[in-house]
Amino acid sequence: MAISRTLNIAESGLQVYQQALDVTSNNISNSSNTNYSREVVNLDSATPTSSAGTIWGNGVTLKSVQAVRDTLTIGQIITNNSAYSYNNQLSTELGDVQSLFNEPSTDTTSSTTSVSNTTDSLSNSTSAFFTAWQNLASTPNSVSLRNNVIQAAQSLSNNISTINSGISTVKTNTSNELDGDLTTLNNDLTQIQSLNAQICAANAAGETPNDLVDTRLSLIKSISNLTNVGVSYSSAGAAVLSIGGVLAVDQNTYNQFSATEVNGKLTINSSGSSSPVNLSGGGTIGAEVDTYNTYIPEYQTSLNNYVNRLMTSVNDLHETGYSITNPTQNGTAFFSNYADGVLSINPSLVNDPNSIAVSSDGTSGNGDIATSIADLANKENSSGTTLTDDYSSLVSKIGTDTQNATNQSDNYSTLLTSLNNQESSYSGVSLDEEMTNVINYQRSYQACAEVISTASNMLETLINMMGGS
Amino acid sequence: MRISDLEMSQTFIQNYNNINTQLNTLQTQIATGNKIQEPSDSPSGTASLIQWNSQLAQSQAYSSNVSTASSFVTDTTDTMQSIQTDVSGIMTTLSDLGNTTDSSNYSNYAQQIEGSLSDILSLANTKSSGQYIFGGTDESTAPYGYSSDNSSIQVKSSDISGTQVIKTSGSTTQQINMSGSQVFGTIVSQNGSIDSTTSVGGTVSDQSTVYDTSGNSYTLKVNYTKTAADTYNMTYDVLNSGNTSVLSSPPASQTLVFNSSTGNLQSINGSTPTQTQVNIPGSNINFSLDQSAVTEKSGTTSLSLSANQKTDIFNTLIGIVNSLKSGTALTSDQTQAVSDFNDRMLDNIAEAGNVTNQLTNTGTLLTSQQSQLTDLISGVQTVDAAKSATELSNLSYILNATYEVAAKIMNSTTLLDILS
Repeated sequence: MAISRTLNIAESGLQVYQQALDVTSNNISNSSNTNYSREVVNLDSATPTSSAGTIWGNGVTLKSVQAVRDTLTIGQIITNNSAYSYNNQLSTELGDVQSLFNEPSTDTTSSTTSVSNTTDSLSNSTSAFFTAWQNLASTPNSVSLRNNVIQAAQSLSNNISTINSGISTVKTNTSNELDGDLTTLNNDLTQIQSLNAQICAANAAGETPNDLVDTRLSLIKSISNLTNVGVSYSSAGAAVLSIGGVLAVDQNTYNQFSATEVNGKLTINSSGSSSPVNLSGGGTIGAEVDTYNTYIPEYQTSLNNYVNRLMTSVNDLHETGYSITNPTQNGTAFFSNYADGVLSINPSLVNDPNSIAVSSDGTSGNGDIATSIADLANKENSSGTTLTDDYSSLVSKIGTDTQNATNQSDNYSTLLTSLNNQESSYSGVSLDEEMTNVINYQRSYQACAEVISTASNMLETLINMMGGS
Repeated sequence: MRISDLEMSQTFIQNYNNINTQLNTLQTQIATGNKIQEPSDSPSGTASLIQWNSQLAQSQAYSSNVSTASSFVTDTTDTMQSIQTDVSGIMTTLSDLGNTTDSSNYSNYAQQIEGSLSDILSLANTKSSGQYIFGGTDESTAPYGYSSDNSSIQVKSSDISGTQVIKTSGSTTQQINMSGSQVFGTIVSQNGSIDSTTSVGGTVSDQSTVYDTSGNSYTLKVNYTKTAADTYNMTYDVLNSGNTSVLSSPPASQTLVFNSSTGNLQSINGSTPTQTQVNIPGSNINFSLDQSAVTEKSGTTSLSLSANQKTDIFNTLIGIVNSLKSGTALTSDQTQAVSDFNDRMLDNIAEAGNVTNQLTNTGTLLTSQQSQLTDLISGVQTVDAAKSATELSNLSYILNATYEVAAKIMNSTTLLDILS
């Protein structure tokens, strides 16, 4: 056998272990990169040759550099990301709505001793309103108590306007957040399409584009935070994403998503579909769509029903009463209307509190109507519910929805932590492990170099022998 | 199990965030003293708090009513006691008069009684918190005053019989005023029964003598015309000695409905029966027609009208003063009228005392109710300080332990350290 063969075999070792050190170095460099999947070097024996009846090894080759990924766990992470983000975002949006109601109110005395201010809760200002009527009932001709009724009604009206205005703001913010999320989604899809093309080209060339795949996976995870996404892979290695049953991106194309408001509801459109896309139920986009289209309208309807019931009940009684003006007036509504979230008080009563109809028989000291109005808070309607029941049900519903979303968010967060740990356990970089590899590769490299040195000495000896003859 | 370096730090951050979240919640609860900061902390608890706070506000409003009413009833009682003192003084004067035969002193007595009358009239127009105590529900004017010729004292307001009622709970009310008609007025009561077998369209009548402020007599006629089973239209008229109506216009008929089982009067014009105020200023006639005692029974109609007095105390006293000024001895009717009014005042004072007692009891009940509601609210809302302090201590301990563990693990010796 020629000495040169020994040299070639050792040289293969030098090359391979240098490449292996490169991979280890790359792993160490990315040890704090959460999107990185560690790479392992797969070594193989070089194809042996047969000579003089013996099979001779030809050293070592680098078979592949493989990224370590747990695809099953990654699939679970993508699925649960959507559920977590949906509930987390929903919890935030509904939390914004519930904070508008300022419940549970802690200052009950403000509703009984004075007219509450506009920062008070609706329950307190409603109680203050009915208490003002109760007080007026005992002294019906008191102008100051009549003014108190007007002030309490204005405070109640201000609270209702503030809540309605706040709900509108939440809706506007939700719509703006949706636009931002759709922009992020569209950018991610554009990048994935580009990465798909690069990855497919690399695969076709027999390369292993691990870093590109990691970057693409990071984008897919980002999209799973935004919406429910279905992920599959083509034979060429392209990630094929579908969103809301519509193709979002593949190797060659990507679609863009946008939102429009139709009849007060947000509709998601895709450039890849002529029909609206249903994105509710998953990711932050789903939470924003559901908050805008389902939750807030439901709360607004309940609030409007409550205010309309209050207005109608008060007006029905007030219109049967008599003022203490001269001449007395009858048939006057207390609230003029409730429109666009504003409960308006009859201006004629604001201008002249004596026009408030407190008397049931026209005498100035009769307070029957005031008493009846004061009793409205806890008077049952035909369905057996009181105004207080209606309001507490509304607040409780908002609280329950928010609590459910928060609890679900916490549950999915715990699950995701476990899955991410699982993924990190599989794909994350362990510095101890990498340092062990460094030592192994370094030792192998040194050994190969030593072999080359030895072979070189042998060759030199041989040459000297030939020179000596 | 394989553990990556990144996993170590992520686990620490996750645990740190969890503990800090709990600490933040606990801190807010301790600082505010409230367990529930927002509805999502406890939706059912929040709903209960809203209900209880509403009930508490309503109960406190009832307490406020009771407080206002107590003040009003106290003023009423004080005023009636003052009136009764005046009347008692008049009775003493009248007693002295009975012992004298010297009519030359009558004018002195007349002056004394006139002074008391003036005082009583002033007291009858007393206000409490802007309301005429004996004005019923008409607050527009003082209830009593002299006629234009100063010959008599008349009811000046449109209705002195109105009742002032406050609510003391969701289902109970309390009348707090003694109406002018109850204290000073003449009440003509309709007693007896109407035959329930009376045909529809048939009319039964009753009549009685009523008096003006000068003591002149008139005839009150009351007619009940059956319009349906247990239902009658009631009309009345007041006729002078010439049998001519002194009403400026016929009064609107009233619909009386009797309970078909008990025969008791159920409603007048669809409402709880109240007295009908008959005020004829042109004839100085003012009385209340009380029909609450009339019933419907099978058998013969038997009706009777009776008045609690002929003339009110003011005009009785005017009559006494006029008699004394003219040197005329008083009649036993005049003396008896004052004595009757004194008894009436004592009854009214006793009744006001009962109302005060009832208000006091109601106030006590409401306070107890508010205490219970406050306890309920506190049970759901108020933080248990001892429990919170323990939890705070526990969480602080866990956080410190987490720091210790993280410091040891993340800063522990690695192979890299050994190699270097």
